[in-house]
Amino acid sequence: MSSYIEPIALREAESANDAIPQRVYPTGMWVALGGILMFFAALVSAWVVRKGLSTSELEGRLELPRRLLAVNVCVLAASSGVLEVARRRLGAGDVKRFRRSWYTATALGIVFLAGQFLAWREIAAAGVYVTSNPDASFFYLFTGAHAIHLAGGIVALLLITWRPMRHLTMATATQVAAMYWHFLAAIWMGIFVLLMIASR
Amino acid sequence: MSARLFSTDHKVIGKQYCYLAMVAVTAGILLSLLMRYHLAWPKGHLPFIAGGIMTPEQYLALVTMHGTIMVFFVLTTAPQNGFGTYFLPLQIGAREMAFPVLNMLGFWLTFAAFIVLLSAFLVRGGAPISGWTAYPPLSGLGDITGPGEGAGQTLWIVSILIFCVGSILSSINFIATTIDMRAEGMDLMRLPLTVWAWFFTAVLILLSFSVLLASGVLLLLDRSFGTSFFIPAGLVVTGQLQTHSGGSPLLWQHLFWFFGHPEVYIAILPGMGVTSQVLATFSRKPIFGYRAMVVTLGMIGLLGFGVWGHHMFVSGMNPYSGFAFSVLTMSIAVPSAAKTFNWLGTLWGGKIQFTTPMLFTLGFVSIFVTGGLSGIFLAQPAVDNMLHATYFVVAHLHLVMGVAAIFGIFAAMYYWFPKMFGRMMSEGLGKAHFWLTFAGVYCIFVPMHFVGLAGGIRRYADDSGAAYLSALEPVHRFMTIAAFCTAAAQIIFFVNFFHSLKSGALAPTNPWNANTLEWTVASPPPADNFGETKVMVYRGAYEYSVPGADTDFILQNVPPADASHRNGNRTGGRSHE
Amino acid sequence: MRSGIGIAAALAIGFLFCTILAAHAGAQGCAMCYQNAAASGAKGQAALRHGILILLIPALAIFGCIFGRMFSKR
Repeated sequence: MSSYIEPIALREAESANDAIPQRVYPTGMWVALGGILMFFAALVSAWVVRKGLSTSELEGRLELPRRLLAVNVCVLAASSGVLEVARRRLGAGDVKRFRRSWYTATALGIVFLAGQFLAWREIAAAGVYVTSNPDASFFYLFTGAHAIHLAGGIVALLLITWRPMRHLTMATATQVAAMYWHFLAAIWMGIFVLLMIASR
Repeated sequence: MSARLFSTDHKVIGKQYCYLAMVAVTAGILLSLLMRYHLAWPKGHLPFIAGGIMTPEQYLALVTMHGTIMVFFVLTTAPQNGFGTYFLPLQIGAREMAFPVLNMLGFWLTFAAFIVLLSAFLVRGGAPISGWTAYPPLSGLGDITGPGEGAGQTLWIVSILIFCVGSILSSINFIATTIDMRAEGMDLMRLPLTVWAWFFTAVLILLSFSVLLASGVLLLLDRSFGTSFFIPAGLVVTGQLQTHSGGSPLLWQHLFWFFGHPEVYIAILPGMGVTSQVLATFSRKPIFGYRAMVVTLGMIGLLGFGVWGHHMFVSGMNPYSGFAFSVLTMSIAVPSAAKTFNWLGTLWGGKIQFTTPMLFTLGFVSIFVTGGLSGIFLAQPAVDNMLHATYFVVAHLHLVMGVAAIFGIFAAMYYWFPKMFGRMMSEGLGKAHFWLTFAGVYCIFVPMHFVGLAGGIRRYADDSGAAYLSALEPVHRFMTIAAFCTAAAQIIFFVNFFHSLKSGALAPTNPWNANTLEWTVASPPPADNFGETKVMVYRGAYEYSVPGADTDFILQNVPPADASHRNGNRTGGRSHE
Repeated sequence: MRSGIGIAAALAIGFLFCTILAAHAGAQGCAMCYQNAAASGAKGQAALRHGILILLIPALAIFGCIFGRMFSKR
C-alpha cells in the first residue's frame, strides 16, 4: 500500500492564506457525530415503536451468538484504547511507535468487522434472516449500519497515514479520526446492551 | 471547465444551488399547472397523455412530484444552500467556508438527487403516487399497489436518501463555519439575522434529515428485502395476500413527521432572516429588538421539534397536564408573532424605500400573517377533524411555504443580485413582477380556503362525481386561471434576471447603502472575498440612522473613530464591546 | 430599552394568546395522527411515547450542545 518511508511531519498548516483554522475540524466532527447519533437514535426509536405496535404474536425471539458478540465488543474497545495510545505517542513525537499503534488499532477494527460478519453467518446458519422477525431485522440493520460507518472509519485511519494532508496537521487529523472511532465504539456498546436486553 | 464546474469556491457553489433551484421551481410550477388544469377541467384533453384524459393515478403522480420537487429542491435548497452558501462567509468576514470540498460534494449530491428524482418519470410505471409524504403501505409494497410504485417509488426513495446526505454535509459546513470562522470582532450579537437564521436552519437540517435518512433506509428494506417495518400482517392487495407481518404504518408517520415538521421551519427560517435584513435596510432603521429576533429564531427551531411529538403523545393524562401540553403546543405561535411585531416595529417611523426587494419582503410579512392565521384554525382539533385533508390545509401550507417562503427567495434574489452578478436588475420589471405575483397568489389561495371549508378534498383528481363537490368547479376554474396568470408573471422575473445578467447597469459596491460585510467588497466579490486585508468588525449589523452620524448607515467594519461625533451615545446597534 | 419592551410586550401578548386557546389545543394540525395513535392500544401508545422521547431527547441535547459551543466561542 504505502511506500511512504519518511517520518510524518508535525508541521502547522502552511497554506499561504492560512484561511481555514485547524479548530474547524474538531467542530465539524462534533457536529457530524451529532448527525450520526440522530441516525442511530432513529433506528432505536423505530425498534421500540415497532415492537410496541406489533400486532403479530408469532414473531420469534432472536437467538444471538452472545459470546462472539461479547468478544467483538472487547476487540472494538481495545482498538479504541490502542488508538489513544497511538495519539499519545504522536504527541510525544515518537513517530515510529505511533505508526505501529495506529496500524494495530486499524487492524483490530478490521478484526471487529470480521467478527460481525461471522456473527451474521452464525445467525443465518440458524435460519434467521433479515425478514424473519423484527428483532432480526433490526439486528441486521444496526450491525450493518454500524459496520458501514466503521468501514469508512478504517479507510480514514489508513488515508491519514498514507501521506501528509493538504489542510490538516497530523495532530488534528488524528484527533478527529479518534473522535469518530471512539464514538462508533460507544455507539456499538450501546447497541450491544440493547441487543442483549432484547434477546434475553 | 471541470475546474470551474467542480469549483470549491463557495460563491460558485451558491450560484450553482440557485440555478438548480430555478430549474426545479420551473419544473414544479409546470407540474402544478397540469394539476390545476385537470382540477378545473376534469374531462379536458391533454395532448401528451395516452387516451387524452389524465387518470387519477397520473394526477397523484403530479401531486407527488410537485410536492417533492418544491419542498426539497426549491424550499430547502435555495434559501439555505443557495444564498447561505454564497453569503454566510461574506457576512461573517471569512474567506471561505470551513470545508470547501464538502461544500462542492454537497451541491453535486443534491444535483444527483434531482436527476434521480426526475428519472422516475421515465421508468416503467412512471412517477410514484404516494405523495411527498410517501406513506406505506402504499409506498412499501412495490408496483402491486399502483403505477409508479415500482421503480418510480424506489428512485424517489434513493433520490431522497442522496439528498439527505448532501444536506447533512452542507449543514455541517454551515455550523462549523458560523462557530469557528467569524472575523475578529464579529461577536454573536453582531451577527446579521440572516446568519442566525442559516445557523439555526442548519441545526434543524442536521437533526431532522438524519432521521429521514434512517426512515428511507427502512422503507427501502421493506420494499426490496421483504422486511416488515411498516407493513402490517394480513394485507391483501390486488387479490394477493402479502407475506409481511407485524409492521406498522404508524411507525412511518412517527419517523417521517419528526423530519416533516422541522422541514417546514427549515423552509421558512432563512426567509425570516432575509426579511429582517431587507426591512432594516430599506426602512433605514435598526431591526426592532435584535436580541428578541435571535431568541425567537432559536425558539422556532427548538419548539419545531416538540410540536411533532404532540401529534402522537397519547397518554391518560389528567386535564391539568393537558393544559401544559396545550400551552407548549400553541407556544410555537409566540415567537412567530413576536417576529411579526418586531418587523412592524422596524417599519414604524422609518424612511421606507419601496424598492423591489422591500416590496417582496413586505409581501412576505403580509402572506406569512395570512397563512399563519389559517394555521390557527387547523390547530383546533375539533376544527381540524373536519378540515384535515381538505383544501383548507392545502391553502394554508401553500400560503406559508409555497408563497411566503418563495417571496423570501425573491426578496433575497433582488436584494443580492447586484452583489452576486455585478449588475442591477430592472426596478420596473421587478415591481411589475411583484404586483402581478402578489395579486395572483391571493387570487389562487384565498378561494382555496373556502373550497376546503365546503368540503373539497385534497389529492382527489376528479370531483365531478359528487354534486356538492362539482358545485365548486367554478371556484377551481377561477383558481386555475389565476394560477396560469401568476405563473406567466414569473416570466417577467426570468426575463429581468437573464437580461440584467448581460445588460444590467453595473452595480456599485453598496447600491443599497447597507451595513453588512458583503457590501464592503466589490460586486461581484473577488475570489478570496476580502483580499489581503484583515477583516475587523467594530459594530452590529443594524446601525442605520444613528444619531449624530454623518450618514444614515455605518458599515460593520468602520472603526469607532471614523463614525464621527458618537462619544458614547446610545445607539440602536450593539457596537460597544 | 426598546428591545426589552419589545420582548416583554410580545411575550405578554403571546402568553395571553396561549391561555385563551389552551383548552382547545391538543394536536397542532394533525387530528389524524392523534387518532391513529390513540387507536393503537395501550402497548402501542407506550411504545410511541418512548419512541418519541428517544428521538426528542438526543435532538434537543444536540441542539443545546451546538448552541452551547457557539456561545462558548463568542
